[in-house]
This record gives sequence, structure tokens and C-alpha cells, in this order.
Amino acid sequence: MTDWLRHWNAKRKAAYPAWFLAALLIAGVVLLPVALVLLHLMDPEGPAWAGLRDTVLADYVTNTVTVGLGGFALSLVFGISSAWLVSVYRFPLSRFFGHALYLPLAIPTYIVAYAYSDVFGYGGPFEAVQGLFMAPDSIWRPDIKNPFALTVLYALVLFPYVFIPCKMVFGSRLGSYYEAAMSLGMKPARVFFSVMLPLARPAAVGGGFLVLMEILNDFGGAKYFGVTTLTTGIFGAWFSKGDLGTAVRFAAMLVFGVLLLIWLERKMRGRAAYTEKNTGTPITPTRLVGAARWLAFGWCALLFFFGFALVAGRLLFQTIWVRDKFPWAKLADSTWNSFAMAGLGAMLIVTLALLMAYNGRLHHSRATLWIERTSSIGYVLPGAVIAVGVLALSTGLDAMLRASGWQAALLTGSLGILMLAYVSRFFAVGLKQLEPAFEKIPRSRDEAGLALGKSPGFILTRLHLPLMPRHLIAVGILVFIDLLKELPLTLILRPFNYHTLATQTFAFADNEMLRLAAVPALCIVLCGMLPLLLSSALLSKK
Amino acid sequence: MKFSLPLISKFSLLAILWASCASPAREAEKEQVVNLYSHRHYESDQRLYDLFTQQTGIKVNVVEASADEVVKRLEAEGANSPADLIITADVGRLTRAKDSGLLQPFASTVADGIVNPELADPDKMWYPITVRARVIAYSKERVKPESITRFEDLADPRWAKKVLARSSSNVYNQSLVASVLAHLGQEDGEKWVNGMVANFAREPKGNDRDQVKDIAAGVGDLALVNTYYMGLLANSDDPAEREAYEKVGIIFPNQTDRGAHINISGVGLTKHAPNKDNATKLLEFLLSPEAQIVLVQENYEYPVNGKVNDLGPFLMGLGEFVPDTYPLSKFGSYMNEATDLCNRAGWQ
Repeated sequence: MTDWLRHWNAKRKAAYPAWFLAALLIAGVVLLPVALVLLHLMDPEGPAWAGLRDTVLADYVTNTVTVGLGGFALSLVFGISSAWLVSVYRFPLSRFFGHALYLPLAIPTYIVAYAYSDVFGYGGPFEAVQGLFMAPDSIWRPDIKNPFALTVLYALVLFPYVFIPCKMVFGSRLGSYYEAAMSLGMKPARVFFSVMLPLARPAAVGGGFLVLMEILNDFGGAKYFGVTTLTTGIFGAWFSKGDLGTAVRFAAMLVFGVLLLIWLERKMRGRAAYTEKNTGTPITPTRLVGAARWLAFGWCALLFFFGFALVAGRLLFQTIWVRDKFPWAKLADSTWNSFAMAGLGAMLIVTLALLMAYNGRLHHSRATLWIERTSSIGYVLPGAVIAVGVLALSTGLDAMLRASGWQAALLTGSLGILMLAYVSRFFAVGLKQLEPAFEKIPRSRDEAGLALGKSPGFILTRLHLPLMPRHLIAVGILVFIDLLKELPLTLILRPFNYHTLATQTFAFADNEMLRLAAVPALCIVLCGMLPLLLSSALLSKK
Repeated sequence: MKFSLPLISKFSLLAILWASCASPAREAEKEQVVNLYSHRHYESDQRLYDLFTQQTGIKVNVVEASADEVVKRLEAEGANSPADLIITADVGRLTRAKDSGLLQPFASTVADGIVNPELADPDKMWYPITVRARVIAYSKERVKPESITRFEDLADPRWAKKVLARSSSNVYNQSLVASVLAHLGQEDGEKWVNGMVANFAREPKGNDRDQVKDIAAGVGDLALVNTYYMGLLANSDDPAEREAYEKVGIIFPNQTDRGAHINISGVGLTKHAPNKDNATKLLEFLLSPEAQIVLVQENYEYPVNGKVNDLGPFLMGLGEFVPDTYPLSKFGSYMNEATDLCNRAGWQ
């Protein structure tokens, strides 16, 4: 008997098979498209493999590691530092930054790449500003289309993934730790590095991994910057050369690289685990004085300006510029489609993630742990890879339906299948963000409920959910933002005549009409802004 | 076991049901339709489709994505695909679709009468709708146009650190390299690519417009660009782009030997097209002078219908040129070798 089965049987008495099966089913649905692609690892190596391995693979790996780890590290620096500042100190606009630093997340990575090239490019605003007080031939035009600049840009728009959970940790009831450390005469810097940072580590690193995976998924920005990564390599091998075997090998490298990192991180963290106390008081913010006050302000302002204001401002400027030329008729439709699909998708993903996370609470077994871990793989793979897996699945199902007498093509090219792809790809975001919320709820609640003979469903809906509505909405909003920005799945799987803001942005950008692309891009940012601010308000309520 | 679903998940279930029912392609079953998978996403195309619907009553349904993705979708859907036509912006993807067995022949004497056979598939599985030339843009300030007359000149060491190009993952560059391989053969083709890569002023990056802007900014002196993007630059509503355009000139290369490399935007008929007749009608409409003139004047592409003489001020301004007459259908077999070659040469 396999290990997990024995494990399961041992716990059978307390087990709730329906919940376990539900989790298994969800994992199956999430994993199936991924599995259909990864199965091709068994294929003999493709015709392009040897050539690519000997010529460009080293570049792919170097660039992937540079932008991936660089972006990971930078966003930790950006996110932890700013979260610490706004949580523990008071300085000009500190409360504003506490909310505003959520906003960079509304900007898709492909848009930040285009916007910055425009700002620093020929005839862009950076040039115009220099032109005000410099001779035309001494104007400096930095070439920002390189891996390092790309890394910084990624970190600038993705660091809120670290900022948000860290701010929640620093803002929670850590007052006693902080005050104890301070009363022992530790310098604030030392308090931060040796007491608070270890406390925030799981949250920060968890956010950092989301950043990493978003970076590994970016295709548009990397392609435009001429930075060849494993992701661009997957596209090259599979779509341009039609060599699935080689593409899947690249994809597998991505997956194993990320799994290795996660494993390393667990090793390094060791047994140290952070559990939040439910007693104690939050840290009382200290009013900064002198230079420190302006340094703190400057740092947050820098992040806000370069992570959000500059891009949003530029998009707004371009939108005003092309207002007479832009085909506005389609925009309302696209906005509605984006909103509807992202909204429904977020609800669905949060619901499924909730069921899975709760199952994890019911069953403390290796099997459940594995179900949870593997169901996150979809997030590591580029969207287009998932899309083709979903296509294989939906066309397979269609063929079966046809064989049993159905006439029309039922699934392929339907919004339902697109929704399935969203779930498969973004399930990890929901699950990863929900797990900490569950951990905060004392186990005694479950035990009391079970002792009273209540069903797990009752405990979840009546005892747990009322404790975390704000958190649930906040997680939903994060997923919503991700879906709003989503491009490759929608592009490949959508029905006829169906447009979202992201596909409209793509169409203009692909035609090199970047000014027109700014209009739907700005709409994405605006649609993302309000929910992000709402989630910030919800999460910072004490 | 009691398993009460939270309200939110009931909503979600309803939502999925709604979503999976609301496929526009199916609602349209009764009416006359033609279904496109297209890599072209221009406003002018949409207007043409609307016009076609007005004239024929046939509704045009479109999914737009990159050509490679479109072909993948078609491949996955197989016999059940609703698509009738695929539209790409280069010939390489059409020949690949054909070689993968995804296309079938059109039966249109109208199209045969209009299109030059060198531009079309000998088996009539795809036809071009427009032509774009890939040309050399040069700095008017720093380059004498007579000093460069052929693509081969770009590999000349005298242009070291002067040549600008975008990534070789771009289909226009792949097709260009394929054409050079077809004409010069493997060995000389490889020499040419190596020589040109050695002359690159910087790593390949950006899009076609960026190459021109980089000439204007002094990063390099020569660049590979499509005529079509030059038209967009010349008529841009961004003054900086028009200024960049003013600073460059265009050379149609190889005018005394094989002619300038051209590529097409084309239409292929899918193997399992459910609306074959409507698809043929749309092809014939797109080839008609009425439609061609829109593509020419709004998108700055060259027509494939010889009856269209008014090319508009931009293309007229570029002047006449001798196009490469090597059959486009034969470039396809060089495409894979072309990308391998670029990888070997370090053209990212």
C-alpha cells in the first residue's frame, strides 16, 4: 500500500472523504491541462533541441536567472522596506503610501516595459525635460532595453506582492516583540534585522515567489526588450518551430528551477515558523524627525512614482493625445468583458481555493500537502503553455461529446473553457493567499464545532467564514487583478469576436500603435486601481 | 454528509453555466457566417468585414491572436474547428499551416485571375491579400544612399557597429533570412548573417519603429524595416515619430539583381472549413479593388490587385521598385534553417 493511502487510512476515523475527494477533484481539474503538456516530456527529444541547447540555451538560462532572482531580490527590498516604514513610522504622507503602494500591481508587466521605453526613448518626456536646459546634442538617452533595467521594472510593479503581506505582519499585534526589543536597548535597525525581519520572512518570501512566477511568465516585456529567457524560448521552440518536445523541456526546467528554490527556502528556514499571536497590541507608530523623516518619505515617493504614477501618467497623457483617433465603440464592450470574466474567475478561484485550504485543515496528511503543492504548478508555466494544454483537453472532450451524439462544437472556443484555463493558471494565487488566513483561526474552533456534532461544511461557513470576510475579499481582489491583466490564455482560447482590455492592448501594441494601446492599457490600470484601494482599506482595518 | 455550498460558489456555478452557453459562434449557426482566425488586427480590416457583411449578408466572426497561436489552435481543434480561414501577416506561417496539413485548396477562378502566381500557393491553398517590402532604412545625415545597394552590403565590415535590427524571433526577419538562404545557398547565407550580426550597433531589440527612432537618435545608421511601418511613422500623430521618419531614407535593395525581398499578408482556407463558399466569397472580396484600396491607403501595404493604381501619397512617394520574384511558396522550406542560423550567429 502506498504511503499516503496508509496515512489516509490511519486517519480515517477523523477523515471526511467527501472533502478529500473534492480537493482531489479540484486538483485534478487544475492540473489536467498542465499534465497534458508535461506528459510530452516522455516524447523523444525534438529536432530543435540539440541546436538550441548548443547555441542559445545558456543565454536563456542566464537571462532567466538574472531577471528572475534579481526581480525576486529587488522586490523583497522594495516591499519589506516600504512596508516597514509605513507600518512603524509616521512621516509626510505615510498613511497615503500605506494604501498607494498597492497600486503598482494594477500595471501589467508588458505595459510597464512599453511605457518606460516610451518615456526614455526617442522624443519621449525624459528627452523633453533635458531639452529644457541642455543643448540638443548633449541629450542623454539611456538604453533601457536590457536585462537589468527589465529586472528593475519588474520589481517596481510587482513588489506589492511583498509589500502587502509584510504590511499585514508589521501591522499585526507585534507590539510586545517590538517594545521588548526596544526596551532591551537595541537600535531600531537591529530590531528590524534581528527581530522583525525573521517574523516577516514567511510572508515576504511567499510574496517574493509570486513575484518570481509573474516574472517567469512575462513574455511581452521580455520580447520587446530583446531579452531571451526560457519563456521566450518556449514560444520560439513550440510556436515558431513547432517542436513541442523541446518546448516542454524548457518548461520543465522552469518548473524544476522554481521547485528547487522553494525547497531551498524551506531548508534554510528550517523549523522556524511564525504563528501570529492573537493577543497583544499593534506597534505604535513613531513620528520620524529630521532627515529620517524626509528619507522615509523620499523612498516611498520614489517607489510610488516609478512603480505607478509615471506609467499611469504617461498612459493618461497618451490617451488624451489620441482621444479623437481612438475607436471608442469597442472599449465599453472590452471593459465589461474584462470585468465580468475577471470578477467571475476571482469568485470561482477563491471558492475552490477555500474548499482546498479547508480540506488541508481537516486532513493533516502528506497526501493533502502534495495535492496543495502540485496544484500550484500551473502558476509557474507560461500562460500560452497552459492554453495549449487546455485546448488539448477541450478538443478531447468535444470529440467524446461528438462521439456520443452531440452536434455542435461545445467547449472549444467557449467562455467556460477560458474560465477553466483561468482557474488552472491562477488557482495558486488564491490558495497561497488564503492559507495564512486559515492559520490565524484557532483550531479550538474546529474542535468545539466537531465535538458538538457539526459538519465540516457548517464549521467552514458558520464558524470560519464570518472571521475572515475582509481577507476573503482581499484575496479575491488580488486574483481579480491578475485576471484583469491576463493576456495569453484569453488571446488563444477566446470565442469569436470577443475582446478584453488586455487583448485590445495587445492588438494595438502588436501593430506598433503604442499610443492607441495606451487607452485600453489605462482602462486596465483604472479597473485595477479601485479594487486595490478597497482591498488596502479592508486589510488595514484593525 | 451535509455539504452546504457557500452562496458565493452557487453564484460561481451559475456563472460557469452561463459562460459555457454564451458562445457567439453557436448562436450564429442559423445565419450565414464565415469564421476567421487572424493575425491581422487593424481597424481597417474590421471596416472591410463590416462592408462585406453589408454586401452579402454573411457575418464575419473573428478571433485575433499571433499567427503561431492561431495555427496551434487550428491544429488542436482538428476536424472540429469552426475556423474557415486563417489570416497571417507573413508567408512562413501559411506554408507551415499547409505543410502541417491544415489547409485545403480554394476553388476561385476570380482569385486566380487577380493574383500573380509567384505570390500565391501553387496548390491554391493560400492567397496573398497585400504585399510588404522589407527594406533598408538609412540615416540621411550619415549615409550616402548609393553606398549601399544590396542586403549583402549590410555584412560589409565598413558598417561595423552601424546596423540595427530587431530580434530574429520576428517573422519578417526570419522570412528575410530564408529568402537569402534560398538565393545564396547555405554557406554564403551563413556568412552573410554572421557578417551582419558582427556589424550590429547593439543587441537586437524593440520593434520596427524603434529601429528607425534609433537611427534618428544616432544609435546606428542602417536598419531592417518594413515599408508598412514606415508609412505608419510618416503619418504618425506623434511629432517625434514624424521627425524620426524625416531623418531616414529608404533603400529598396538588390534592384539590379534579384529584387527587393517582399512578404505578404495572406489568407489560407482551413481543411475542415464549415463555410467554404462564404470563405471563398470573403477572399474574393478582399482581393477586389474596393477592398484593396482601403488596405493600401490606410495601412500603407502594397495591393495584389493590379487594377489598383492609386497607391496613395506615401507609397507613391517611395517610388516604384523591382520586387524579388522568387516564388514565395518556396521560402517556407528555409524557415527552420533560417532560425537555426540566426541562433548560431547569435542574432537574438
